[in-house]
Amino acid sequence: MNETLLAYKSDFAAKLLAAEPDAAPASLEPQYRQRFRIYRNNLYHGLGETLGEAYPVVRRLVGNEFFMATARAFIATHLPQEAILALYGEDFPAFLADFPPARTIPYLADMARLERARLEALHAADSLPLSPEALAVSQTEFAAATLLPHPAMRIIASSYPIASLWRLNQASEVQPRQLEAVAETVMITRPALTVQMHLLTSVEAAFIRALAGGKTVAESYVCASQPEAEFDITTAMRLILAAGAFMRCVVPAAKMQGHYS
Amino acid sequence: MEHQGEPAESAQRHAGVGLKLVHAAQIIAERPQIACFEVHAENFMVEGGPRLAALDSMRAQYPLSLHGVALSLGGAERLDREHLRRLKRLIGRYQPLVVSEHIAWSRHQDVHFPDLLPVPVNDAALRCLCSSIDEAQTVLGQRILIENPSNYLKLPQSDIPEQEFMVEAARRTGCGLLLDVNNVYVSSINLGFDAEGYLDSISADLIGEIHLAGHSRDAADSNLLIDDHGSAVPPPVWALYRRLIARTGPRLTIVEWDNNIPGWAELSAQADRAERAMLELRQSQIAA
Repeated sequence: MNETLLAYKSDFAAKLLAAEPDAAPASLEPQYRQRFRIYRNNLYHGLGETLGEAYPVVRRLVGNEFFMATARAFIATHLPQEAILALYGEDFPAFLADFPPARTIPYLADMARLERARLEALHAADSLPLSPEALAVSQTEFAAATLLPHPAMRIIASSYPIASLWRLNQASEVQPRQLEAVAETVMITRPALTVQMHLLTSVEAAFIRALAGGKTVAESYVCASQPEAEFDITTAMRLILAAGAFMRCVVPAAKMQGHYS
Repeated sequence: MEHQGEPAESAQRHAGVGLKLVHAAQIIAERPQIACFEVHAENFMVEGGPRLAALDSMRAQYPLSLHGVALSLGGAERLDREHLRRLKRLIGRYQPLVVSEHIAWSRHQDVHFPDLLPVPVNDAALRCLCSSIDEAQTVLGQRILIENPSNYLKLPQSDIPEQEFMVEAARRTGCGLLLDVNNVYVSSINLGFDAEGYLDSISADLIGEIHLAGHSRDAADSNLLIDDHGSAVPPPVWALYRRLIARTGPRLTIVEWDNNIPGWAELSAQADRAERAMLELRQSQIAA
């Protein structure tokens, strides 16, 4: 590879990322140094817009000017590691949680986590969700079965009414209304082409998380059965099927009783 | 399908547009007569979901052109093999009419800059570019077209005219050229060269595709044009286009409009205008 070209690229890249707004490669003739800003603008504006499209409610909550300034701070330390930008900004929710100027909106980082989960669900692999027929097995078999999660399924738990806040911010004009200050846990799915959100009770979330983690239906039932909250597995299974949260039911092969005796 | 009785007209169409997904539902419903839709390959490198579904529907009705923006052919580094493999998968899925890329760089070490960054035009850069094109064409198993950039800077150690640089790369590697007429015009104003001379010097048989787009004047520097794809193709770019196709004959022509995106009617009118220019040219040549 060519050392002169690599040195040119190193200098160009360093000046793109330099803190000084008028930085430019020293090798440029003076009349072109002014124009280097075009490339800096493209970099920050382009990635800022990419983040803005990925986090539209966050942008709306903080306003465009604040959002683009925050994006700039994020971009400087989180340059893309791959050529595809569809999923750029994975660390943006964590960045917001640690970004002091963003703390005036306490649920901002949770909103970012919700929007990130929706984005991942949007671009996840397509798969047919679990059908009710796939669950037509004996009770013993069902108890020992495991369910494979659908590639788009995500669960976001917040101590704020995060899904209600998200919905409130979809209208072109937000109608001020009283939201109940309750924690919400939301399951994101995409059984076909449209992303869906479903509110979960804490025990339903515990059940679905256990299933998605590979536990059997019986084990997951135990995880969800807590003395302080009632768990109804029939309702939970109905929700799982309606939302398309899982894609396959795996029933372990029946043991051949007495075969080895 | 229902147009089987009149294939001649659509078979001879050459003008298309860069697809904007906001128009996809309308296009699929109305089935306008358009030669081809071009998409940025990277936007469809996702595992599943509505983007790929929309492109599947488009492909069922129209030929596609896959236009890459992130291969970093001019980067003087080994190409990103994983990225090439993803491109190859897309080619397999959509069987595009053409596959094109830029002579820019966008990757340095392991960082990706989502932009088309400029490459000095000299002999060492030419050798690097050719080795990247060879690598891409070998892995993809097909010919690609390379596109001229819009230039804002005269880079040091640039001693080959860009048009000669591109033609030589095409001769050495067997690739074709995607000639962006708007980029030639923007660069000619920004760097001060003769746009007509640039276009006239390129052998017609190397040109596989033409791009048209709009640009704007920089707010701070009125001598500077910005290639922003944010408006209709302006008169000087149409004039250069007519001059070019008078020499090359009809070529696949794609109108790019990526910012301030207009309604479908306004965008498709730009493709119709390019189509008409090619048609008028044929008629005047038949008459002569």
